[in-house]
Amino acid sequence: MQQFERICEQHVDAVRAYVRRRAPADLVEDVVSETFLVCLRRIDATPSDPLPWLYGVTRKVLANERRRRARTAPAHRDLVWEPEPVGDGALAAAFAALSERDREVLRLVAWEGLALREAADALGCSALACRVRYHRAKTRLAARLDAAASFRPEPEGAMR
Amino acid sequence: MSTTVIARLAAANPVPTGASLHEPAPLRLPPRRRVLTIALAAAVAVPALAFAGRLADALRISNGGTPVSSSKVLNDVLPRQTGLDRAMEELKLGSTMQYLGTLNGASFYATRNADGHFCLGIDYIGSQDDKIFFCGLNDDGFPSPDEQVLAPALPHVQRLQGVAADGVAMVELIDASGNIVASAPVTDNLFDSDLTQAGQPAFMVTLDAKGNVTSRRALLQPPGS
Repeated sequence: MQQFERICEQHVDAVRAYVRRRAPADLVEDVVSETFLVCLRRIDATPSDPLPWLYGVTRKVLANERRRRARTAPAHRDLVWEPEPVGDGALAAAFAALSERDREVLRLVAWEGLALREAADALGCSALACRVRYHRAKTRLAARLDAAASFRPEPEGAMR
Repeated sequence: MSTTVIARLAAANPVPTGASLHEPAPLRLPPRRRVLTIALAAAVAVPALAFAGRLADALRISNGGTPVSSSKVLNDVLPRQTGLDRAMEELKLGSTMQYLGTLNGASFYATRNADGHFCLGIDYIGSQDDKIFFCGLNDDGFPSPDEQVLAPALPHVQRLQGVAADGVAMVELIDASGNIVASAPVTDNLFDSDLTQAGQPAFMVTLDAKGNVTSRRALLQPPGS
């Protein structure tokens, strides 16, 4: 139990921030609680550096929670809502246009600050696969930003 | 360019690292309960029904239930799961539980653990997700005049459900203004109802058969509410 309490104490804020970066506020506490219950159940299998593993658990719990809410409240708009990059409209638009697969690996590196090896643990894939996935996602995001920058509509009211 | 993209994305983090999260404790557990939405291991001790009658008495409600082996319950409630032996030990559950009945598709199981705390399991038949198991953490709690209802923590579940003490005919949730958010009639000490009305539940009240309020308890509120 001491091990579990230590993990909670050290990582709950990081897990909570992870959820808040991906889901509406009303989902946060349920998902965080469920994540740590999984941790309690699997305490013997928890790695010595548990945070990437906790992120992986949280990702699955969040997906399950979205599915569960979709069943009980099919018209719930919040199910598809997720926070976007703030203060940078062009980036937010380009980011939103990526696949969830691409967005997740980029979030793990840019927002959670994980190394690619740790991101691989969180995603449940090999380090090599994660590296490939990351570079492709990064390239796609850059390409979308470039495309947006090269297309500059005329300012409203401009003379022709 | 692409490295700059990552720096740009990091700068646009909607929840920057180190930002105050304004949230309370790690697990949002009610002060006297430990809630587990569990996936218990099927590998639990062989059934031991010798003390089933004593267990039914220990529940201290009229619905003594039918003894069932914990291993059967766990197999029914938590199929395809492994690895909760440790949590089982921590909750100090025995190998026998009481099946209290099924209401609105939810099967209710109860027991008292080795510390004498009332433990309740709720299984929605056919659902892989809606599994609840929790134990009270106080010795002299449910059922008592102050603890007339044992229910999962409301922020955690989407239903008004649980076990009620003898004499309770209705369980209601009301908001801070006194409006009824949900109500559930009690049948054989069990209740289960959807939270269909809008509103933030602030209190859980119990009523007897004449409609008199017999208890009223403030509920934990979500952060920021």
